[in-house]
Amino acid sequence: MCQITAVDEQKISYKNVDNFNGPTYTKANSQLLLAFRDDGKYLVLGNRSLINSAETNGFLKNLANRAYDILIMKNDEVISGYILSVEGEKFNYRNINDATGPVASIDKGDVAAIIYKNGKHQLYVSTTEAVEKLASVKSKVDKLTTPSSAEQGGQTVLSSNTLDTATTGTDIKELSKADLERFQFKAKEKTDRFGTYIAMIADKETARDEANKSIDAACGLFLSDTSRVWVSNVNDGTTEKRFVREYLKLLRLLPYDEVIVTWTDVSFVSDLRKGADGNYHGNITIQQVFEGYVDGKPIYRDVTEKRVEVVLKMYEKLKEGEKVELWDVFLTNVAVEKTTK
Amino acid sequence: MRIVGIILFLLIVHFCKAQNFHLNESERFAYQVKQLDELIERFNGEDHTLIKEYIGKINPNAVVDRTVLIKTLFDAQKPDWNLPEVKTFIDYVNDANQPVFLNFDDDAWYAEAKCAVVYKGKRENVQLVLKVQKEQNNGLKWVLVSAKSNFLSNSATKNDFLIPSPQNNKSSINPISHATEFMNLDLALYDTKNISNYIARDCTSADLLVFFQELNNKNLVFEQVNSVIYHFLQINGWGFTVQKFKRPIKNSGWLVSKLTRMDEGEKQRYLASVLNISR
Repeated sequence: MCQITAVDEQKISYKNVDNFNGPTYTKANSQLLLAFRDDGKYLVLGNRSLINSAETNGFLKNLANRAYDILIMKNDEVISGYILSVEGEKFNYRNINDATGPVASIDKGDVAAIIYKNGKHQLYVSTTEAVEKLASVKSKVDKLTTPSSAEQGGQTVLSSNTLDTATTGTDIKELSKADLERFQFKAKEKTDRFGTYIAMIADKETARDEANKSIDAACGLFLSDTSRVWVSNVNDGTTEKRFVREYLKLLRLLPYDEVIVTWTDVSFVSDLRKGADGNYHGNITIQQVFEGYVDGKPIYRDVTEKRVEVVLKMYEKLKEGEKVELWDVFLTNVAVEKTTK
Repeated sequence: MRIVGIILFLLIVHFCKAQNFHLNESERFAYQVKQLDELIERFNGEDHTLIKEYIGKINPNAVVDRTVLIKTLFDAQKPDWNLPEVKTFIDYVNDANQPVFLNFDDDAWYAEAKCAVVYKGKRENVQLVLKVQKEQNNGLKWVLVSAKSNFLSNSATKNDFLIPSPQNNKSSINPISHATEFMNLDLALYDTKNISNYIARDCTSADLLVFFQELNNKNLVFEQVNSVIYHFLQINGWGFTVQKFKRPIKNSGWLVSKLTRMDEGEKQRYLASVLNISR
């Protein structure tokens, strides 16, 4: 996954998504097979005869959200519709031209690829076959992925390619599903870091200075120091609410020689949902096991569920004298529920 | 630089410790319906539900269709389910031609927050009922739609409380507040300058206004939300409640606790009697 910055008939330039301020990399088109944008638009590469300058020029142009999925069949048919569910070897979908009509089914075996409305794609044939198929239906798909200006309605949609650019049209700013998914990933990564800092802060082997730095770093993940942690104990029914810094400092005072905090590799990440305040809000639920040891013997153990609220917030920054709008994810509040011993 | 190095080292150590996690806890957590949003995902049989992906990794041949997902949403320890009725309900919502889905911004579903308060020095309970409201910017927020408690309906307080225009239009109960069981509801209730932001546009509850008035008069102190029950009334002919089951088994978390056939008249009566909402 990368942020494509330029495309021409010879090469693609791109940036690492984890380091937008870092170097720009390039790859020759001959080294690549396909390039997909986060809105589902694609280029068939590898064979130069398949692309031209008009295509490359239009590839980075931003598009409005597409409200439907695109199914590319092995017989070169292209269906625009809404995939409702997958049952065994069948896809259930509604055709875009008959949105209230009956649900249709198609066999997975007849499908070459699906480009979902959120920009994700799935290939159901070998990569070589997919490249040929996507090349042969490209003009049909382009018509579906390039709406008329009337359809775009003047509303600006930020894609990951234009995340830090100013918007035009109405002042209602929406993020594309692909953008939101990228920020969901970032929110999960920040939540994991919060869990890791908790483990470090609670661990008596961590020197005081390091622990204090970890507390600062953990607080830095939050929107502000007034973010709160609500701890409820299912076993005895008690609850307590604390500011995040206070909660983290108390972890240092636990009466154990050694603390081990582990967590599951299963976590629930909710969709980011636009709020009345214009920010996007989400939640991540993780589970941790806390074990406290004295003289090498385990004397306390609990399983806690941490539900972390996150907010994706826009802020303005001056960059080379110009005001640019940027988005970042912050943790806001945490509910900690001690469940089992 | 040295500090960064040490922190990175400790991060790696803790990641390594994570490998020792007890697998049964992990499995239970995967099956548990951890969030209401996860319940909605499973109910709708979405392609990328966490449980589908988890089962798919363990047993790639397992068929986890929408019917299976919906069945995982019922409280399996309730002894008196009317199983034929449950099956009829699942068949109805999963009809191949007219499937029924839950949407977060549906109109007719409510969160009933059971709250602890102190009223004139005495501990009391009050039910605050919230629903999701869409704003002009297409953003969503939770808003209060009614309140229910004996002390409110018996209060001598006159219902002449004037709600001021908000000073900050952006203050709101965010649309993911249910995930932390409305832990910040106290901040909203004491944001006296922006109270109208937290009340539903179509609110007609006199008891909710009395609640705010008593809060404003300092006769009432809000303590916390103790638990939440959701009431889903948007499915034609049916109503069901969802509540959290805190138990160390797979069938836990946010589960359907009650399913009832309801026509429109019965839904109106339910709204009035259970949620204190008159339409």
